[in-house]
Amino acid sequence: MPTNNWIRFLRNYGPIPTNDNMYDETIQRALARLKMQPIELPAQHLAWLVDNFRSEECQSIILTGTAGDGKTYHCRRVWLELGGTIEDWNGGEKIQRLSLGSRQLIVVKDLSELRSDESKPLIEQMAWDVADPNSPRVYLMAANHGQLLEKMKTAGSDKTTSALVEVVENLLVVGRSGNSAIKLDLRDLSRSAAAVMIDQVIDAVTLHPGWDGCADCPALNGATCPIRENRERLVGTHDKGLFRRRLCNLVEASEQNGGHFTIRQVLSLVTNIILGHPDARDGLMACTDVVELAAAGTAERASPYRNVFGGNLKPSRAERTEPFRKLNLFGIGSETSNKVDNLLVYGADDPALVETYRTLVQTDQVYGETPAYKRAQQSYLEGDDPSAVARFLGLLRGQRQRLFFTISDELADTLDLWDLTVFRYAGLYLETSRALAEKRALPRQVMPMLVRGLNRVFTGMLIQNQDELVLASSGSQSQSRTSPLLEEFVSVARRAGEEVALLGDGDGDMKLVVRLARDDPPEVTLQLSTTRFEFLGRVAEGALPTSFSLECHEDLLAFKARLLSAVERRRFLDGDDRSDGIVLKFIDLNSDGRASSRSVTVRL
Amino acid sequence: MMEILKRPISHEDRTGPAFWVDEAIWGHRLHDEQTPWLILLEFLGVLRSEQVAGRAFAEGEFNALSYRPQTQLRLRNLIFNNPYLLTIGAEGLSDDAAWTKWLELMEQNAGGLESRDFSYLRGRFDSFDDFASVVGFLQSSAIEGASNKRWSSKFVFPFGPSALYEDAAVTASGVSTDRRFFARTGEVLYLMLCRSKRAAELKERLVGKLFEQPTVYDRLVAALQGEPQLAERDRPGAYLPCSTHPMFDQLAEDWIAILDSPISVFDALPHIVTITGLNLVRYQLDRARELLDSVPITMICEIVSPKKTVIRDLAADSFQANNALPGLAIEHYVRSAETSHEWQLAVASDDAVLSAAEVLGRQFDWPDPDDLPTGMSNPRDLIDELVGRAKTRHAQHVGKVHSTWARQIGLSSRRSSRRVRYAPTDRLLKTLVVCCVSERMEFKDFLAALHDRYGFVIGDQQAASIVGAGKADQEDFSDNARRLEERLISLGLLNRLSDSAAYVENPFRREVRA
Repeated sequence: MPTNNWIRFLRNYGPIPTNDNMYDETIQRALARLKMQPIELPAQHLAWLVDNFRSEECQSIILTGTAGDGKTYHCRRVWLELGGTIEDWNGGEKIQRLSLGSRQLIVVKDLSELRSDESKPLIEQMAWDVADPNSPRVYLMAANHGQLLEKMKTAGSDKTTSALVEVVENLLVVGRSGNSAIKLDLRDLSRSAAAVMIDQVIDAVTLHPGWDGCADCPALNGATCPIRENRERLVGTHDKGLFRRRLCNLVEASEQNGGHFTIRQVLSLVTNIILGHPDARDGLMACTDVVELAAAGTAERASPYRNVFGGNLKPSRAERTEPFRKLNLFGIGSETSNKVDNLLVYGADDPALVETYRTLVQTDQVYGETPAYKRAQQSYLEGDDPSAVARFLGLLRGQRQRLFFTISDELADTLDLWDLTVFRYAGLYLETSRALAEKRALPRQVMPMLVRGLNRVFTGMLIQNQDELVLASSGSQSQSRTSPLLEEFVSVARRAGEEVALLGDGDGDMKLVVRLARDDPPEVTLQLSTTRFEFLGRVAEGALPTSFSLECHEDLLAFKARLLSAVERRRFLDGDDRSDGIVLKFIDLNSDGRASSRSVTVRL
Repeated sequence: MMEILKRPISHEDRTGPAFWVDEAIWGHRLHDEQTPWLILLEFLGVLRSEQVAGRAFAEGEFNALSYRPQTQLRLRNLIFNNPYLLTIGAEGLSDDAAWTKWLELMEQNAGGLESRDFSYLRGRFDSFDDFASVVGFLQSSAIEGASNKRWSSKFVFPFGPSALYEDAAVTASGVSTDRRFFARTGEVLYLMLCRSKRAAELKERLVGKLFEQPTVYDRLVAALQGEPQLAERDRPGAYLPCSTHPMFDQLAEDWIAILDSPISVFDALPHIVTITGLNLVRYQLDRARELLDSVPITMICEIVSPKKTVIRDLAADSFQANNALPGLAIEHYVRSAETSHEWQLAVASDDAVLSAAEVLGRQFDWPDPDDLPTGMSNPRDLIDELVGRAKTRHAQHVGKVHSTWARQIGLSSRRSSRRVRYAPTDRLLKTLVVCCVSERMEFKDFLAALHDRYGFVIGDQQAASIVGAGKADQEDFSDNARRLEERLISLGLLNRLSDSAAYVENPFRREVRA
């Protein structure tokens, strides 16, 4: 049986217990042994790092992140770019030195490798050097977040070291150094956008020259090789890149929600998509498995769409393993809509659905309407075999997952693509975020939806207002459920300095900005995430699943509190009003569900 | 020897407690039916009266506090004894007819007032409907508004000085203070804060924020009430047995941390209520511990997990052990009378029982020498009798304080279990973060701070002795800490940089930065 070394090598990147390709160090050795070209991974900060160290006013840099973010990889690439040799690098010194003109560059690829008697003098020396503009030494240091702080804090308590520690902590937590005298910058690799990375990783893996080894594979004659099939699908020649675009969307939506993907996790995901199969050893196919699986008629279970969610692994393992844990939070496979299920169950026989069924299910003979699926569907519909129900429902799950990645953009709206996930508004969120980035007009329904959702949270009433923000208070605590008193209406459209708008920040993040006046009080902003967006969408729609934690509600109440103090500020600037008593504005609900205000004067 | 100040005899009224046991240990008095919110309201009433008298947080001599609270009965009738607004509103009368009808009904039904004339209100509102909306608004913002307490034990939100008044019983025969829900715990709290190291700083903040800048709503309440009404007599008799206690200082620290947060004072109050409940519970346990001379109080807290864990059992055991402490302390305190020199002399004297009764009487105000219980042949019988009576009385109220308040502030729960255990709720966690974290703090330092300040055992670092005794694995507690981390993240109180570094952040400070 022919085997391709490349597949064997790639397999090590997958979610296997030994996880040999976890570390840059082991990979280098394996590559040398197998005489293979390395996978060229994106190193987003490489150019910036090299430019920095080549410049006259270069600063010392700390690279931090979680395990698997590519810290060592960055260090090695910088080392090679700046003229260091691979032999020196592989020599295994924990602290490497390289001369850069008049300066010396000190590279520590993993601070945690140093014993405290090694790290302490190093950090103390570094504290002096970064504070000295003419220092002959600059540093490139990599460490995990926790280890970085721990090593730093245990170093020394003298003034210079404390200053360094404070700067590092500030850079890490708030992203600003707060001390311009210290020439140090920090890059947190865990803040790199995985949605961009994943495209590059897919290319690096699927277009690797190692695949040429498959060209003379006899398994190709006749039967389909699932490994090659999955690779084709990921490359995206037949679906115009739809599969990978949806995958990127999913990763992006997850990142917007604070779920970070390290480069190692992305690699593991891509590998799993290509090689996953529940019957193979460790859930990952090797070349030798392919013929057996084909003979057993289970090749279709290598569905790459299921593999995205770790469907090839035992559920308990998938649950514990990144990146599958994060991706499964979307509930794809369990969530569904009547439209999609009707299509999958009755599509073949229903004249109204048959056209769509043909496009989405029948045409995919490998993972769509396979003989096994057709059989299960038939016995489910005829109800002759009780065990068929469970079997068919299992298959249905896999089909829903497949549909999420294969429903074309044209059909996405009719079939409510994002109803296949728990984040029903994620599609709208991504669309909005893209519109912002490309400075296009926002989808029409976005602002009314957000404003209506906010108004309902702010007042605790099911009001319909969507052209203005209804700022309400309870008079007492801002945490109380209903707020019967109107403080102010804020126009959504720009009017007399007032405005409610959505702004993007270029990274795909977006925030809601409320302006109450042209300059003072300053604008009040709310960062939106997938979850917050979803929360507002569901509230605007009128129904809120109980699974939402209190978090969003609290965040929005805090946002309201900030708006109320801005209103307070504006009133102060406007000066006292001359009334002979107290005026309370109560919120009344009109018959059309809109809030209006009714003033009540109490004379003193 | 534990500090126990002498009972304030000068203000002794014969209706006071028949014997001085619970009171000597914890003060007069901790009462389970007074919820933490009502403790705060009683406290604010005391503070206001003392401030008006120019004595805020100044205790001339120990336990000589005597203050005159407001009663504000007109306000209370309007808001809580006024079921006519809705019915009149539904009748569709003219404005004039509505006022007339309502004034008549109040004339007949208002309670505890000499003059039941509310016609002064007509001039203050444009219409009866406006008046009804304002009353409705004040009802909706009442403290524990959904409770089914009598109307004279309901309270408007403490918008300011005019909104403060004491709990009362209003019957046909008049108004009396039965101390049903203002059972002096607020007075005890006042004395505690008086005796804390930072009393002056605290006074400045409380008086400045609550009394000196009357809010719109305070003026509104004042407009409804008209002239303030005061109680007829001063209220003496508050008693707190120790002149200092670490818990008093802790309490003041916590209050100052909350009051210094950039939030409105109204938003600060719920946090103050919660942290006060916690510190009072700690105070009760710690005084008991001091008497029993046992190890420092800890509370093993389960951060609720979906599945049963070892921690759940340990937290329940910890709750149970602490819950039993005050009862043990009572018995120990009474029985320790036997070890005194005085007692030895009395027992050796001719009329041992009578002499012993005198000795007991001096310490516990029991028994009345003229009215000895019958059938006492041995001085020890007296002690047994007192222990029996003290425990019975203790079990009615003081003994329930720990379990009642712990539940009310969200410290204990029976969620998915049959046994009560320490399992802090989100609300309590948020208050703890506000009190302990001024800007940001590493998560492991936060766990240590919770242990140092409140005795909470959550993570493996704090549970070393429990793990050492083989009652649980280190992993059980580190999982527990991890669950706390997750909870704090979902509450927006924690910023995790990676698996090993996380910062707890004060939500209000962060918002100011944002």
